[in-house]
Amino acid sequence: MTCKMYSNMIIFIKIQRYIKEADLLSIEDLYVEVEGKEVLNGVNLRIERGRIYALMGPNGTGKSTLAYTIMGHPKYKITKGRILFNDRDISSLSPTERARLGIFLAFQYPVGIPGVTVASFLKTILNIRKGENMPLVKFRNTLKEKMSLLEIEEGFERRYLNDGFSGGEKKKSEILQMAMLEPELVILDEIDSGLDIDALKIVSKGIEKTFNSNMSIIIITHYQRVLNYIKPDSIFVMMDGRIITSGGDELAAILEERGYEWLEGVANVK
Amino acid sequence: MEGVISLSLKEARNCYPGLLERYTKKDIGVFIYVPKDIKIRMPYITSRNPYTLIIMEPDSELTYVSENDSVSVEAYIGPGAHLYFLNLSRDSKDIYTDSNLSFFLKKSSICDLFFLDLAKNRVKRDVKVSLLEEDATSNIRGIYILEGNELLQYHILQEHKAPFTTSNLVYKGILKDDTKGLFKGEITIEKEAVQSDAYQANYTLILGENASIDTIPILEIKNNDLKRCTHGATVGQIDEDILFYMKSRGLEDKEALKLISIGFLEEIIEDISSESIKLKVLKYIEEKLEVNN
Amino acid sequence: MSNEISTNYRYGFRDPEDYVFKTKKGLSKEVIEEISWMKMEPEWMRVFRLKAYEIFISKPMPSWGPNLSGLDFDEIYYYIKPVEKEGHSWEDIPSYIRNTFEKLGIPEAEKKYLAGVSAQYESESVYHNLKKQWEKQGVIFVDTDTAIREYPDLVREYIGTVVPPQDNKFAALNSAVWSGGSFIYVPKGVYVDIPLQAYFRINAQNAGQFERTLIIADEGSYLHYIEGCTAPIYSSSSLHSAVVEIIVKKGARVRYSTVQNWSNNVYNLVTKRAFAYEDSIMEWVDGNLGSKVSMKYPSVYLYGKGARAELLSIAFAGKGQHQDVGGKVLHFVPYTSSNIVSKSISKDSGHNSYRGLVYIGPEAEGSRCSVRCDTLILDEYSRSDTYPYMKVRNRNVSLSHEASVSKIGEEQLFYLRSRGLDEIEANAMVIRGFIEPITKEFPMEYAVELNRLIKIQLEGTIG
Repeated sequence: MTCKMYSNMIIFIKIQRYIKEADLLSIEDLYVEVEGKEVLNGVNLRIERGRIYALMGPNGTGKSTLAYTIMGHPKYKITKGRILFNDRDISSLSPTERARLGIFLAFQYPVGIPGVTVASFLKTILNIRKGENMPLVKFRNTLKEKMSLLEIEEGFERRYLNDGFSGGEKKKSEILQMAMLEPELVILDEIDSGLDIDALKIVSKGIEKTFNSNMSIIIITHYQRVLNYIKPDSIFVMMDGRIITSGGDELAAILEERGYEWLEGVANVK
Repeated sequence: MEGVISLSLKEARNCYPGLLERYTKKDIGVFIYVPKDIKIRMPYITSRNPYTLIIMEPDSELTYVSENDSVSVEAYIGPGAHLYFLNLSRDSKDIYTDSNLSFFLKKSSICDLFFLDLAKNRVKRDVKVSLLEEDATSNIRGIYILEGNELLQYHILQEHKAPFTTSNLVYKGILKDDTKGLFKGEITIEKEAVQSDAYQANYTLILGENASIDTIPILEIKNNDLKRCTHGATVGQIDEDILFYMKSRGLEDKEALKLISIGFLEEIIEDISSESIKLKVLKYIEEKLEVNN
Repeated sequence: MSNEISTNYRYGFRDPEDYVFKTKKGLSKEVIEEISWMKMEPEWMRVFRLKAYEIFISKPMPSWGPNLSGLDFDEIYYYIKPVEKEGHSWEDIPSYIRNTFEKLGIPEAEKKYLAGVSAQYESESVYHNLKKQWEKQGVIFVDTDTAIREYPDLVREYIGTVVPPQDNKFAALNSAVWSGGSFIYVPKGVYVDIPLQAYFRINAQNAGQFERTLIIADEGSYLHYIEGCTAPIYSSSSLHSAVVEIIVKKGARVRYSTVQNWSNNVYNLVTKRAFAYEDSIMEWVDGNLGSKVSMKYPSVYLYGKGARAELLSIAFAGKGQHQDVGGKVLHFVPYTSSNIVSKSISKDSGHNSYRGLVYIGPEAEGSRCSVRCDTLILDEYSRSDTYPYMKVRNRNVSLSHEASVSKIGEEQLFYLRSRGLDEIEANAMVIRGFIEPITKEFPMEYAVELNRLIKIQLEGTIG
């Protein structure tokens, strides 16, 4: 290696260090109201690209609220603070715009759209995401590939979206959408609810196979069970409308053992 | 009957000057009045059938049972009041009987109507329920069993004139022999009546060779912000498999038919809140199903 | 893509005739005589028309249904000979119609044809080839005027038997002044594999005003006939009163699809009826998008054991429109079955009414019928009514009827928007799904255009 090349390499490495990996999602001091009642009381959260997070907490503490707020549900009004996605303030954008930027929410109870097949729905939303009309053959192949990846049986795509689906089928339908769209930020709202062990294993495997380094996933759950199948890089715990603590694996283990009441003491101290 | 005031209209005009004028100009008939907050525990039972005006003051409660073929009633149900109105008709002296019933509901009031029609001859009933103010609720249940040459015509109108009102109608009928039924159930929802909940279902079991039914469930909807608005009607006969099963357990045709008929009507009989009346209704129905199989 | 779509359902039509004629405004015995004389009709048809005219005069206007007070019988021209163009120019066409053509991507020549501007349309060679094929099979497909001349016995045997002039005032009117329409005869056992289309033989200006269509499907045959198109048809005539009579003989099957999108000055009052005989199937598939007022109740009289009727309809009522549509099925004999599905959408103070009749007669042992009518009301100004009449005269039957009224749910909208659809796309998708049970019965080109048209209609309101 010549001197010149060596010094270029040093400069290159130094520059790399200065280019801070921008957070994919950054929530700053967020207060949110629903029907006049305050439900989020100063949430602060930073999500880095390429990582998996778990958002835990007892029921009713604001986890789903946070998810819906990030997605832009009109019922949730931001009274203070803001949400940045790829450094852009999205607090006043519509859900449509947020989806087009690459945010995806897997609903806990996805709504049924009678008369619209899974396949035609997927084609529509994929075209929107890609910004172009994907040729039918390419679409069919991609769909087939993703369906086999997620172990979804053939014929599923001809059924009407979420219409008469079992709990497990609804979850699979959401994950299939995620697999097809390849979003940047994925929020899974209680993906484990209503699933038995086998279904949970399959869905978790599917999520892991779909995950890539360009994506971040937030798993919302109040049971630790799903985290046995998808290992998060970090865990946040929410209580009374804000994030009270975060940690790694060990936090999950403690919660499993001691439950949430133990943390309540922590919250009060804070 | 403590608490219920029952007078002739003439007397009522004297005792309550100014009150009657607001509701009716009629002179002949009966006036039933339940004062504010009075909840009558015992059902008021009558088998006389003149024109009856029922006025219920706010938060009052009354169970009115009439055992008549022809009925003419106007009921004004005040805010928060609750009227249980049952008409059990088993017999008819006249060939044609005509009934007219109107119920006007104010804020958060409820009317629970039940009609049992086992009447002889030709019966026509016109029922109107007006949900005039917010949160009013109307529940209508009916059973009719016709045999021989009997004829029954029902026209029930439920109008939603205010927001958050609820109407719920379930009717079941059994037609034997050469009987004829006509059931016209109308639901209208006005523009102001947002978040209304309207449901109507009408089931007919035809047992008679020459029996016939006309069923006409009508909807007139003038706004789209509704909690629910559905109606359904089915007409059918006895499921052959069920009949066969019963016979294979030793039941005769007649008995099987009777059991199946009661099973068919059961859901409505169950809904009757007063135990004593429920038993009475069951007794009348069994008697009707006994005769003339 | 639309280019392919257009040529798929529009073919050529006849050469115009040589001279020009138009009756004076209004209706009278003289006008009827003139019409019959101009067409050089046989005596029996002239008499048929005159008798029908007497019936028309004697009948009152219907006392139920939409408001027809805007209809002035004296202001209408009852007969205009084809080629005599009033020379509409493209600019005369209302802009909302021109805009729709733009959005649907319909090519120039076609636009003018649809707007009644051009009298002729190319592609005669395609038409002639098809004609040869049919002639080989013995299929007769001509316009009704020609049928009177070339197949008088056949026409005379059946015309007015399914819809007699006495049936209603507008059937009487049509019987008196009819012109144009299709006459189709499919011989025994013949299966016509491509759908026959009204535009194969139509002349623009005369399009649809008082068409008289007669279809006879002989035993064991199959036919699919398509009338109309999704693109809006501008008509200067405010009254369209057609009559369609269909006879489906033993074992035969006929499907009659219509999409109507008349401009919103038109009163569209149509009588359509079919007699279905033993083991036959009759299907009415109806799309009602346009017109100011439509009164249309396609009917099937089930006269043969084992016959089956399907009535599928979509109605879309926007600003100033009243769609009063539905269907009638009459079961006269045993083991007949019917299925009615009606989906209607109201927006912008549009008014939808479903009017239906199911009659199961005393001899109709073992018959089955199911009715489903659903309405979607998109905003708080619009209105929907349902008037279903069910008369059951036999006990060994089953009948079920369900109706619901709803709007597009907030949660549905949010879900779709969270997948990147904007408000219009989301509404359009829900509506598409709502009418899907019926659109899937239309040929694909129609279904695609129907969905696009609905999206365009929505853009008019939202956004």
